[in-house]
Amino acid sequence: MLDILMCKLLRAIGAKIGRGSSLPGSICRKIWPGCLKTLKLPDKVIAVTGSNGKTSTVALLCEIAERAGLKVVCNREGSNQIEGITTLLLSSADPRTRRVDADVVILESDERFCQYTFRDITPSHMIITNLFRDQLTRNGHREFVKGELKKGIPDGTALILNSNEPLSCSYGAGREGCIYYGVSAPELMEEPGIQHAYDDGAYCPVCGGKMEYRYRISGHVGSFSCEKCGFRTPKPDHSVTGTEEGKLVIDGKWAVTPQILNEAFAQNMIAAYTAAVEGIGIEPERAAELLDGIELDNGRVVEFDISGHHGRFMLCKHENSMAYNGAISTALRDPAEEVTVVFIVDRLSRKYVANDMSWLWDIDFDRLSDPKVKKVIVSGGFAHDAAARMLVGGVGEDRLIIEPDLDKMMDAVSEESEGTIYVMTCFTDQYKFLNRLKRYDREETR
Amino acid sequence: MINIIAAYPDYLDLYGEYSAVKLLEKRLTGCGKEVAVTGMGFGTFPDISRADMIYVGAGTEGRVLSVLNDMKEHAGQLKEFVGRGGLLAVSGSSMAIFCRTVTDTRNGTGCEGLGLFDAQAVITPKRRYGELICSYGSEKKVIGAVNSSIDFARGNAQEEMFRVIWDSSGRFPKGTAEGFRTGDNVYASEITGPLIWRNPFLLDEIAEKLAGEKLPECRELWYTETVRAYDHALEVLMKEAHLA
Repeated sequence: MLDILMCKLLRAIGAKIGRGSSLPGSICRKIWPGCLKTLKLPDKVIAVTGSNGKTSTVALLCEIAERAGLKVVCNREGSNQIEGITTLLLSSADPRTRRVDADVVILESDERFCQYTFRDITPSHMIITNLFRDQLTRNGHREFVKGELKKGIPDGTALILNSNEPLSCSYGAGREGCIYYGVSAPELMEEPGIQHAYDDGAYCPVCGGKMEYRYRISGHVGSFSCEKCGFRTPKPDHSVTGTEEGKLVIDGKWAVTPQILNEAFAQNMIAAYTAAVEGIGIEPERAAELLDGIELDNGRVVEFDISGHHGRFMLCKHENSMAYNGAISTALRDPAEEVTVVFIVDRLSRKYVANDMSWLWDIDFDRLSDPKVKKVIVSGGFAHDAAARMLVGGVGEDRLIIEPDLDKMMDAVSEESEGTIYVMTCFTDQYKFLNRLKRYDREETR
Repeated sequence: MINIIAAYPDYLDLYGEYSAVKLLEKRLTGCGKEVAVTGMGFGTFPDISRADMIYVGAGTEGRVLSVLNDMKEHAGQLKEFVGRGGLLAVSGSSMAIFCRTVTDTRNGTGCEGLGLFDAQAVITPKRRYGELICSYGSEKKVIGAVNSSIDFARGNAQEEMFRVIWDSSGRFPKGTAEGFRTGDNVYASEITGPLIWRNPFLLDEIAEKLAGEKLPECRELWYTETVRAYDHALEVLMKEAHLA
């Protein structure tokens, strides 16, 4: 009882000083290390982990469940390590009964920390969105992360796996009761022949044999098969089978409006839908109705105008090439005839010191040599690294503007852009652009 | 014609390693040299008798072991290649392939390496990430990162590549030897970056070795930007190391 009361008190105090999400759980765990074990959780506990798409999938799933009238406890604001999850669950529990007051608990969990979080609680279901190259300085390479995450998958948990991503899908090899989702909409498939900087689908994660692809959604995500051991994209239980007038068609039946019509968001939506149907038990038609038109207020895409040009700010993640590759694909698919791409890399992380720039070579910057891209503006402390990478990748010197200074970068965006502007950066650096954009708006208005 | 062999380029492909060969090719062709790049992969071991360089980039621990297994039957050819002065450059965890032994403490197994280095490689469950400043020769400073779970124990006969000035992880104390060098034609370092991109003077050194002559200074923008990036990164790291 005391752990719950103390957590609630610390959370209330912490909220006033901006330290209410992880610190209370951290303190409680030190005093009562087994506090999570004795909580009474609802039958439906859905964990969401993986490299990309966790936060959006969690937000979509929470929204579906809440629209269905269910009481949801969820760490949708982040804090996805054990301390944050402890804070969330203890502060949502009744001190007398130790029962978490919810119909469903939805937990975003850092993939490397599942081994600690799910030692004490067993989710009924766990969505693993994918295992991409993500913050290699902090996390390590994909195979290392796969091993770390494996330690955090309890035996009794039903896995909900992305049938199109080989490495995370391989958790299902030889495991009973896995549920699969996928994307097979022809409109969301990658054009054949696109050359990527690397191919994490070249070799089978089960036996090391050569893999073949029937189609690709993005990079190594697609319909794969290993010619040596037979490991292949499993038949999905639920999938995005097509698009129709800007909507995603689920299982060939239900049309839902996505906030963003692209392959990454389609994967998030079908993951959330699958968990709603298979994990929470919402009827398929009802789940599709509830999913339809959900608008997440997460600042992932910000539309703006500057000097007569329309712009789109795309929130990506440094050290995560798949995120940037998705943004580059979106820019190249823009209906406008001309686009300008702005890439800002000033600081890798707010949490740790890292100056490694090798991840720049994993991004498909070579695709920016497309004639549609009229200007590429690079800025921030690592602008020279980015420029060198792009030049080696074939971006023409005449189209490249190298401006490490962020204020001068805004002038270049305003004065030199052609066509629709796509600004790509990480949450670490996002306000270096967005705050300057606000100032620029004011100056333009004056 | 300068013949470069990229070893398992789509398999040993961590930390942008493919760019090392690409940059060498660009630096050399920019000076009018002809360069041919050939891939070496599983079941496709090319004729290395006329190769000038073999580049082996960084990969995961599991992949390094697979490549070692695949290369074993060609160990004699590789030793012959190095013996006749062929340039072998190895980066990151792939150094383990060429050690005397490789021990995997994660599962208690071990095997013989190709034995080009007088060293032992030990794969551990603990991954470490550190950013390094090293000295190279009397005045040059090499920068980069080590992101690995392999420890290397050097034998007495093995020369070093660099000497550590600072390591953010503390794994390599100041003054520790880093990497392996054998004579004038075998370079190996745990440091990635990719190493010859982050340190353009190393790119020049290897390119000149391959060309067999001093190359003219490169004035192309990609190279100028690479040098500027090095200057900036060195300044940042020196500040972090409190050496500025």
